[in-house]
Amino acid sequence: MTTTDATAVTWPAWEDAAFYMQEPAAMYASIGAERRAAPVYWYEPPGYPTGLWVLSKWEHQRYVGSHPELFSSRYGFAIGDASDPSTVMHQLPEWAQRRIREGNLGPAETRRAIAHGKLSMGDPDFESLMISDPPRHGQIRNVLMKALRPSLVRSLKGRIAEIADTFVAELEPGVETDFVTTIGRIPAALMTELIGVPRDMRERFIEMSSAQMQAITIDPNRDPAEAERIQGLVGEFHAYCDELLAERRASGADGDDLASIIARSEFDGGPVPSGMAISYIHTFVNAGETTRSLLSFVAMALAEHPDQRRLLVERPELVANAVEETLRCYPLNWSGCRTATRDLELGGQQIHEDDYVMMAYASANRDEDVWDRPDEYDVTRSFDMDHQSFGYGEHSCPGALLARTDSAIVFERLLARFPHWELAAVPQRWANPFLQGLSTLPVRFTP
Amino acid sequence: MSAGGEYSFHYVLHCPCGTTLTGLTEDEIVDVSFAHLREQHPELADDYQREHVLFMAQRLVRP
Repeated sequence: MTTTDATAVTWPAWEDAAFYMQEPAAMYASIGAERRAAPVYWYEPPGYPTGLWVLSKWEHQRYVGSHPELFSSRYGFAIGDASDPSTVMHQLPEWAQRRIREGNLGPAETRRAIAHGKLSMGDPDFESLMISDPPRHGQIRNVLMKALRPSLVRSLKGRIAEIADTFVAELEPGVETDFVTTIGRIPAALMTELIGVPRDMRERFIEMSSAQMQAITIDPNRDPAEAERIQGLVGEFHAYCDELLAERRASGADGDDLASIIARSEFDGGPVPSGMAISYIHTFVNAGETTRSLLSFVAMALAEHPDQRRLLVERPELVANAVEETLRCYPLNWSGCRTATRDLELGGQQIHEDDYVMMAYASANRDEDVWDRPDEYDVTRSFDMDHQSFGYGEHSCPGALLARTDSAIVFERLLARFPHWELAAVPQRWANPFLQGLSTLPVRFTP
Repeated sequence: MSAGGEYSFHYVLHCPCGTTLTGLTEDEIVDVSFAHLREQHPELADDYQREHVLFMAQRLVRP
């Protein structure tokens, strides 16, 4: 159901990729209208078997994020997980399809089967960080956090600067350049290095792992032939990860790269299961892709706001602030979902056990009760109240520190070499109901 | 931001658990962070040192 308020602004079609591809001003007007009129709103997406609660306010999202005992991650994490199963069956492994067809499942268990199936790497026993709750979630997350510990990330600062300088040195002044495929490749270069992929395999590795990312994005409109192609690459990705881990185990696994850390870690008293190991590797790859999107949005925002860019040139200590402001204005994840574990009241609405609840991060990041001038891009904004772009609580982004560090260093180096850049053509955005990014960002740099 | 265009900064640390911690000085953000660790994550309290806190803390514009 798409509803309109008194001023006839159409409320968001949260499940529809086209909604996110419209002009940002129109999209945020729609999101803002719903937030102001119905901050906790029961939305029934067309074609979905049941509705879901949309939480638009920062305050309500924080409450959900900080109460995993009331709002579980087990039964789906994205709006697409609540799709009509018949429209997404072909994207799921056979065992998940069978569970849905024969299990006589309720809505929450059906969402779990969809989410579990798409994340599972084909393994029905697979346990995912994304769809687990405390304390199990913490046990799964701990292995990953060994590879993202602050002391290790800090030790990378010099290496990140080296990589950034290499990519910046390849930019030609005054020549039209696609930021996404030049500077935007820095995070992938870094992440493949951190995973421990040999240099000659990195391009192929990125191609295979991109397919894995597509595989976990449920898209009811995906062509079956394309789904098959993706599954083929996913199979190659898994085989390569298994090979990499076997090689590390055979050679002692004493490095600080992710593959070595996984190879020498234990889970439930034994080696880390293959599917879980691959999901850790994929999390790193995914972090590289989302950081590419973050860098691209920073570059776009600073091209569109030259006054703000000049300020950063004069005051480079504001670069970290500019990264936060970009995350607030251009969230890479539009939303995150949970399932109520019991009947409760939120924002004056009665939420029932098993109801699906969607935290609309893009809305909370512009909540007028939290942000002064919410639609304005201002690199001097204060962030005592954190934006929602990395989520909140147990499931907040494990790679946030690395993404922030990487982004700040890249722009410190870039601004030092090229204080000026401008758009050379209109940037092309891509978006689905879960994620967004830029597919091209044509710019021209000048010293 | 002051009227003269100067900015004052403070330290902000986003704990991976989702809590945002702030401090005006390095000493303050370290103290606040260790208090949070002891209270919310006692099992991790011995894993972190002052330098870790200072690395994770961002120097951001203060309101």
